[in-house]
Amino acid sequence: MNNKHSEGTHHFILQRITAVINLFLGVYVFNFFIKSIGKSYETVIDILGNNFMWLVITIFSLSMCYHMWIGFNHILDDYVDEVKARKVLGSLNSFVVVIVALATSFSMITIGFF
Amino acid sequence: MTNKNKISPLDRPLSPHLQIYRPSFTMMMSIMHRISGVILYFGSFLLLAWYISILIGPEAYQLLNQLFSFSIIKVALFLFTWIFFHHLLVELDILFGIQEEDLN
Repeated sequence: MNNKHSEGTHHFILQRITAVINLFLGVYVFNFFIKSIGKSYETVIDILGNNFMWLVITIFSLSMCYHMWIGFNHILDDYVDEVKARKVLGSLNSFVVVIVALATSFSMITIGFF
Repeated sequence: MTNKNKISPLDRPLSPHLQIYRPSFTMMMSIMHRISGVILYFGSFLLLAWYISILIGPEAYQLLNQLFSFSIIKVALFLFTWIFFHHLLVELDILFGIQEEDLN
């Protein structure tokens, strides 16, 4: 993951905390996503804007992104033994996760407020 | 290739290869958990596309909705849901399941 040797426990605990958050919010958001397929745009916007669903999705996405970031870095640590490749893939992972987190937060906050 | 005589902190030893272990249920669940995690990582882009289509407007949303109505995409969405719940249930087992120390 990186040069620091002291982050394992920290990541272990945070992975569990985000897992518990995702446990509740994830089921809720997933239910909303799957049920919304086929519904009209107005219905979805209404649910998102009026029921604080946008806030739930933002919190879930941030928690999910952190969970994703730790999980994928863990996999890279385990299976990619070439240092340079691991660093490149790790940076790519960070980039993707930051993009997902920012894009979701931006779209949800925009929908929620405007 | 790195010089094996000079071990940098990043060159950690590798664990023994998977094939030397006899497969067990717990082990397969652990492997499936990891694979499902990777699939969900890429599946999250689907959710992101959906959020962005809502942000862009009704046309983009309708386009994505039409895409989701293809049966092959529906099968993929079903598998996505299945994998999500698989990941969730294994995590529940890790958090609240029977641990080794409970058996003693």
